[in-house]
Amino acid sequence: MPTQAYLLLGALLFSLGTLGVVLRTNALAMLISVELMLNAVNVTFVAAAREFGDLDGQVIAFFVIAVAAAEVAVGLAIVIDLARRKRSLDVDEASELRG
Amino acid sequence: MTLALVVAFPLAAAILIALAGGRLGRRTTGVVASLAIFLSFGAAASMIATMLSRPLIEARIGPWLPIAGADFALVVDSSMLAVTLTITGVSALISVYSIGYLAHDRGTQRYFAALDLFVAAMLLIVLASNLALLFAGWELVGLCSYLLIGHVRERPAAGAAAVRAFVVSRVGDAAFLGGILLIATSFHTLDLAQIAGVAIEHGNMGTDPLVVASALLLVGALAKSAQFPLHVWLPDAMEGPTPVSALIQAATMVTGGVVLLMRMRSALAPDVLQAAAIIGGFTALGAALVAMGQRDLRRVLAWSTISQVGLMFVAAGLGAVFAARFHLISHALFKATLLLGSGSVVHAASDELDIGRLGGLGRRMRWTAGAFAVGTLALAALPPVSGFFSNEGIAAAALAESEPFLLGLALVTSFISAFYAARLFVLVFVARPTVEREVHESSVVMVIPIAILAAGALVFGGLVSSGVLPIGSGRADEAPISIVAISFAIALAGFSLGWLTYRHGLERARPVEEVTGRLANGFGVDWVYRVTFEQPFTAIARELDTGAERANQLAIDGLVLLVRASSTLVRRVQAGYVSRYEILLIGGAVALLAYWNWSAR
Repeated sequence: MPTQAYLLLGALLFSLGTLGVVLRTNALAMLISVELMLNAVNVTFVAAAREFGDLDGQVIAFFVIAVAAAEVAVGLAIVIDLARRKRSLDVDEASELRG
Repeated sequence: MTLALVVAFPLAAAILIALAGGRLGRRTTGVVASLAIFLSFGAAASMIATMLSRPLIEARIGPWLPIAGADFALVVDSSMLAVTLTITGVSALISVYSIGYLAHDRGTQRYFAALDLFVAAMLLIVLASNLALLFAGWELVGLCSYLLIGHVRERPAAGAAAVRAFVVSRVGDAAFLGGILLIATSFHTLDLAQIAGVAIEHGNMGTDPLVVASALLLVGALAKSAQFPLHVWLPDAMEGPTPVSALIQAATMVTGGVVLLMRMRSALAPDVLQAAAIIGGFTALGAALVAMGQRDLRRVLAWSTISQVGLMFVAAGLGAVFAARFHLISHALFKATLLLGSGSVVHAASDELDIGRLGGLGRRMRWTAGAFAVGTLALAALPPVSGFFSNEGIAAAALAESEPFLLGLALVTSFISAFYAARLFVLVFVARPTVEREVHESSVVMVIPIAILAAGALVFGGLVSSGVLPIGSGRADEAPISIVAISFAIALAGFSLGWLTYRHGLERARPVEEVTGRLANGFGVDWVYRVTFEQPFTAIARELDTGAERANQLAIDGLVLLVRASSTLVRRVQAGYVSRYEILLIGGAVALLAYWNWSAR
């Protein structure tokens, strides 16, 4: 498989994740979309690592996975708090911080 | 060094009173102020002996401006020593009088500090060896006149008069400074003797810068000496306490211009001196006419001062320096007598100033009336009082310079002066009083100075004329007996006419008053000033004031509008919806990447 295919896949996944974050208002769906974006980046890193025969990309992919785990932990905590306060997962409900 | 002390005494007293006057107490302040001027008088008097052996006494205290001659340096010759003695002597007596006059005033500290500074500044004008130091004194005189005329803060009229005096002086001061700068740039020196030397070297051919500089200096002199058309401040200056008027009109300030002309006579362009004489002549006549119709006791005296100083300008302009100096000193004595006497009258008659409502004070206030009589005779130029001799000196000078026109002006002026002098004295002291009131003689501290001044005015003229008392270099032009006779006859005629007209009070003289009363507005000069300067400037100032207010308001309103509009615009962005932030974030990232991409190419 040529490297361009992996890069294309990464770009596609990233765009899908972005669309999910922007268009969905469900907090859990947004978290999943963010996860999608992170993994699209991982695909790109690993593809680049294979292309250049260098391990740096793979190392950073592991870092991203670790950070993503932390992000999910924080994100889920926020989601749970949101659900408790608003009795809903709709993030547009939580728009008190406006000018 | 004695010379430096002459100026130093009043200056030191002014500083002392200004700094520590609050602790001295009212009475002590006045005593200190008077004592300082007396010491100054003594220092000047002690130089008379030195003067006999030397033509000039100089005192150089230190360097000042980086231009030739502009040092802290004083110089005096016998002529200016006579003027110095007059100024310090008369001022000292006025200062003593002030102690009594302001016995119940709360601002004595201010008053006496300004008074001493006033005397010191005037002495600088007389004694400074160069134009720079002279100008410093000139400016200080203007400042002190402002402070003293506006002494009674509660009276708005006093404040307005003070501002007027200050502003009119300012016009003259600006011209004066211009003249000094022109002299400095074209002659490269400010030393008076050197300027005269250079001017004579130029052959007095009336080189252009010299003519212009002389004209500018003359404008300065006109403003300080209250000569037409810059005389308008003096009648209003009467709003100040009466001793201040005496100080301004007799001893200091108004004689400043005459002193300047005398000191710079050999430096000024001949045409300008001629102009000074003519302006002086017209001012003398005009002011005398205006004085005839005045109802306010002090305004009569103010206009008479303008008139008498006009005569000094005639003499100084004609180069008859001796006659000018003679009249300056005799006028200082009799005008101080008259003004202090009028202060005494005003004090006694509970601030009544209308001469139509005074009268019959002669029997109640014998001392004041006696002194006032001497002053009146002097003003009327009747023998044997000093005014007769000094007026005659001016007439003789005009004749000697073959100026029949100026001689005529002087003689007509002396006729009118005699007329209004008689009017003033008769109405205040002799005529039957129209209003009954309790009057009493003023306190001793006020009467003694008046008496001394009156005694001086009485004998001074005769002493000088007979050569017993020297008043400096030069001598009077020999007056032909015809001139003496004519001027005596004219003065006597004016005086008798005035006396007979007003013998029975103002009411009986109504037909005359109707004519003279028309002249009392000062030929509308006041009106011209009001229309051409005061009203437009006040209007402009007011417009600027409200305009600035409006512009300010507009700027503030505009700022508010701008902030409000931009904030409503920005508020939209902060909607609180996460997805919108997301779009902005990504949009921003894309825009940045696009920018980098393009700029890299």
